[in-house]
Amino acid sequence: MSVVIKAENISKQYKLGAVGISSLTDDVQRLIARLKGKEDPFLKVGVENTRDKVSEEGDSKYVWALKDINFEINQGEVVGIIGKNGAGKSTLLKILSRVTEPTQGQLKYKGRLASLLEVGTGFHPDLSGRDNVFLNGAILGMKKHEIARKFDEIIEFSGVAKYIDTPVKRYSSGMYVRLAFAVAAHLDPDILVIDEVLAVGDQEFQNKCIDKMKSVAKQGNTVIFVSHNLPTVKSFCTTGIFMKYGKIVMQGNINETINEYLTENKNVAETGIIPKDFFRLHNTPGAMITKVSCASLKGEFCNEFGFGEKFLIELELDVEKKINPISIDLLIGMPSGEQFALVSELSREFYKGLCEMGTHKIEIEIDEQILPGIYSITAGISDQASGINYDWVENVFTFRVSNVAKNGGLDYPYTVSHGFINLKSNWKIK
Amino acid sequence: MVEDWNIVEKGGAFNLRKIFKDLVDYKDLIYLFFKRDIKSSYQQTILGPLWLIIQPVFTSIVFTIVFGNIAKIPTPANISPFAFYLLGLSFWNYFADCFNKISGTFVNNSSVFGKVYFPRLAVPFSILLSGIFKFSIQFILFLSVYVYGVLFNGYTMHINMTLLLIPVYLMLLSLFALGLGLIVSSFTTKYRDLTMLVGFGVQLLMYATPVAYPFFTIKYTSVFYKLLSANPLTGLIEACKYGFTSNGLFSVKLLTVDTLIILLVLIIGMYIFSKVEKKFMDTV
Repeated sequence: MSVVIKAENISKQYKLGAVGISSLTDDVQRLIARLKGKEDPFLKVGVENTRDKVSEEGDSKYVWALKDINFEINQGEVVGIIGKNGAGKSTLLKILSRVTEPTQGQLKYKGRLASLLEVGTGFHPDLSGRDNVFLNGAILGMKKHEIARKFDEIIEFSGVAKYIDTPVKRYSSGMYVRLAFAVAAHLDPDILVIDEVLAVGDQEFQNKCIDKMKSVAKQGNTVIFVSHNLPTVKSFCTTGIFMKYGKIVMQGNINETINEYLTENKNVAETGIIPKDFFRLHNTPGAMITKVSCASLKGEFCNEFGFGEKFLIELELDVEKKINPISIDLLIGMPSGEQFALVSELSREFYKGLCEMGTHKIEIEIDEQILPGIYSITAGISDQASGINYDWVENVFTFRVSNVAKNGGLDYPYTVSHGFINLKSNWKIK
Repeated sequence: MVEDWNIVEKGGAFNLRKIFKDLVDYKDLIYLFFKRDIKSSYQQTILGPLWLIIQPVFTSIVFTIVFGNIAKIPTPANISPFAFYLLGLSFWNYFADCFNKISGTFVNNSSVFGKVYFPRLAVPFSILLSGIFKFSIQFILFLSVYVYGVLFNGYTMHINMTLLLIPVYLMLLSLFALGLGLIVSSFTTKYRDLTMLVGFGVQLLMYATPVAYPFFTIKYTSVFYKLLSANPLTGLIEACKYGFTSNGLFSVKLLTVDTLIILLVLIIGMYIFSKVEKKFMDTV
């Protein structure tokens, strides 16, 4: 097999903070250095891309989002790039799709490369679906006659044939995404770079998209795919690249790469214990979530439940000093990031016991029929009065609901999950 | 595959031939951008493209009142003042409109540029195309008023062979708008100060260009004469007027100097633009 993409020592440096006088003085220094024939003075500074601990070691204004990335990708490979938020995946994608250039090193590729960092790039709200198909296709690199040839196929795939001459601003968001994705799916490049755009649309359409992507890969095209959705990555990709702190930790067989990645999060996944240096979206000193996990009603740790089974979510938080009343929110959602349920104690009285310094354990009983699937829990602590977030950990604990009931309940009768929750309801024949 | 490697790296050589080859590859995109701009401009307006005519008509009326009647600046006798203003405005509007829009290339398209690669120059070129479209309408308006004046108002027609050079003038105006616009748009990705300057700068520039008055109303000895001569637009706009009225400045020497200045600005613009387009996403 021939190599179609080669990354050679790719690094990317970003400046922190806003553009202003200080960046102007840096630019002037850079210019002077260049006129003297010297190297850019700011390339030597810059700290590793470890966002969560940047305060400890970094007083530098510059940060390396990527540092010395090397890899080769063969023709026909389907590569999944995985890693936590902030590992440098998106920056790498931007360089791969030529949206930005690397600060150092070079990327080489052969053939036509198309990138899908978002669906519907360049869609103009006032233009009809038809015009937008042509416009979007051309932006993605197709020729007019190619689009014209595939036009009927695109419309058929999108399922919005009836509205094709209506301005897209009148479309529902679902229709918009379908049409946009349909264009992208018919691109037919040698190399396709995709960000998590599949995390849109309903389940049925997502499956359709993944099938389409698989068929693209089968034709011998190379696909690079970035996602948080491990099951999709696992079923779709042949090899994987695991990134952390702007570096590649591992490249290899997809299953091995995913295992390596999971071991990284193993402690969290298996015990629900969240280390202090875990990536936290908000982090104000005062209170911190140290554990999020699920348990059976008997209190035993568990991450697989039967359909309709009642279960517990267990929380532990460290309150570091006496604080004002807080409130805690739990969100349940897809591992890819969309949330579908809020679990919250709205009564402010409840939180009175949590203001004192120390470790607090909370147990929450969930009594809902969650439809089969893999879900993850996001947790946050905020100040009741100001709304300031003390802590926010995303998708920290993952659990699965199967379609088989336990303890004599009813099984989930369908093969597809129609939504996320079967609402409690009373049925009567009148 | 036996194709060559495409290389993405910092800097990279400034290769005009490759730039044009890329643009030709994406000519469909340029056309579709142009179509989008025209189609979307007049969505949900009642008068639609009529606005293209209304704007110069009203500006010419104001010019007739302010420059003609109040300031009493003379215009050539063989053309109605109204047609004279329309003539200058049609070319001026083309330049100003293209320059303004091209200046916003990076800032206005950052959401698209940040998501997908295509030759960024496709956007300025599509702006020039839309500009030509709008110019054609305004130019036809001028021609109608001009011919009407000759047929019914007793003005005499004094056209000459330099009229054939109008496409060349248009070309030079396009390249100048492109060159200046590329420079401004490149600088505004990081420092937005220039946006402020261009906003009113273009308006002021109109008064430093003989649009609303003939160049010959300025005394040969005055400072303004030298100042205006240094403006590459002066020679061009005057030459356009000369073709229709045989009255005005047509100097091959001045036009040659203008052309050289314009080409220089264009090369600088394309050079800076090609440097900035690869990394502007980090700063915009």
